[in-house]
Amino acid sequence: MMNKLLFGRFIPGESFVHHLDPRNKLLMSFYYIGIIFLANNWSTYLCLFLFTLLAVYLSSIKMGFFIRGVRPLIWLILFTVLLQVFFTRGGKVFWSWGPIVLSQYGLVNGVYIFMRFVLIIFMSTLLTLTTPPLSLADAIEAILKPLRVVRFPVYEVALMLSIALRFVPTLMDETEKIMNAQRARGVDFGEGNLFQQMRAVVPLLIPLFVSSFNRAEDLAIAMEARGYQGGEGRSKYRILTWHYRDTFVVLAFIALTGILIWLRA
Amino acid sequence: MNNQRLLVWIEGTLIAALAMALEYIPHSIGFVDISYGIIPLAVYSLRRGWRAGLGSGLVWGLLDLFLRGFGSGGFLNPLQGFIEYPIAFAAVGIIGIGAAPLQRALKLQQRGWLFGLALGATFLGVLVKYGFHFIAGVIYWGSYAPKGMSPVIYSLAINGGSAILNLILAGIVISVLLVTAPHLFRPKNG
Repeated sequence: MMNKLLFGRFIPGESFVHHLDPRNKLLMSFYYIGIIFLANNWSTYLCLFLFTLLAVYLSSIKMGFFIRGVRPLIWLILFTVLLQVFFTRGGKVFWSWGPIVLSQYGLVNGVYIFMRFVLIIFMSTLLTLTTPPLSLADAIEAILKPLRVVRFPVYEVALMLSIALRFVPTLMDETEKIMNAQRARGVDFGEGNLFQQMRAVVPLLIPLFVSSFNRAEDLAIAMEARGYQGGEGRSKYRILTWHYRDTFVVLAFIALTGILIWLRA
Repeated sequence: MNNQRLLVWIEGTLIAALAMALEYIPHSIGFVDISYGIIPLAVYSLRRGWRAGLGSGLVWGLLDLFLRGFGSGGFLNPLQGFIEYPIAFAAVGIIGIGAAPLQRALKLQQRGWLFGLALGATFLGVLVKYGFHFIAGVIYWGSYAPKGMSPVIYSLAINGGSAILNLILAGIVISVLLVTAPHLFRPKNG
């Protein structure tokens, strides 16, 4: 459980995508979610689909992991797609019943929206499957650096994030232990109405708070004893390096944007 | 960095990690989402103030984005993702505006004030969080709902239910904690 959470959904590997700089992967994932809205016809969606498929192939991760990424959102996707299918008017009408219309535009829009969802989920799944959360924290630190100009505590937030990522599994294990102790006394978590679920969670919280505050005190004392003086000028254990392949990926995304603008209706 | 400031932000870090850990507790009320993570953030913000609360909330939001959001398609539009995770989660720290008067009420044992302040500040924090989720929802539905449909109604329907349930959850649990464990709200070396 601990390792699973520590690494998020990360699957270790030696592929082209695994070796990309996490800053690049994070920025390009955001960029991709932005440019996907440029697609508005079959050719633009096909272009994005092929690009995403190539990225998945270059990650050497089985397709099943990406398809599983779609599963948690399937109801939201279906709901959104059905709204598009039955409430978009235009083109040939195949069937209608009151305000509900099954039209040619509705069907086409439904397919486009479905594609958009799947492509975004595939690309963000690619990011989490090929990048450990700690590297993502390093990437966030690098990306937020310009905010130091407005005195945003970038180093502190990045360090908080790294420490928190380290402690999530520990606190989860502790939560699990206390939950098991409560279960042995007959408590059912996630069962019953809201009030019963709330009543079950209170005995969990107090020991977790106490242990978190105690851990924080120990950690602060340890950091102070080792001479921690804030973020400025600290050396790093994990150093991010930009390679030619990262520049190549940025150029590929720029080319993709150009093609989408050229192909869009 | 002095000892007190270091302790405050390390506490905030551990609280963000605890909030994240609590999100994995099994919970289900139909389609509505219960967030147990709001409770540690509320206690911490009332203990250490709004600035510390905002920082801890921001870290919680980034954790949620890395460990759950990206992998489960929670980031479907750049602006929606930005508001839904870092901004909405950080906003819970606003609960900390009730910290200073709450500490005075704790010292003077003014029970009426104590509950009023804690619940008022917690409700405000939860409402602001879900206010941001609502805005993110409007942006989401604005780019995914059919033309002519109001994204406001969809976002309100989905986030409104969660906001009400989480208000009830946070209100009850914070009240119980104030009675059974008031020391959690008193900062050490405060």
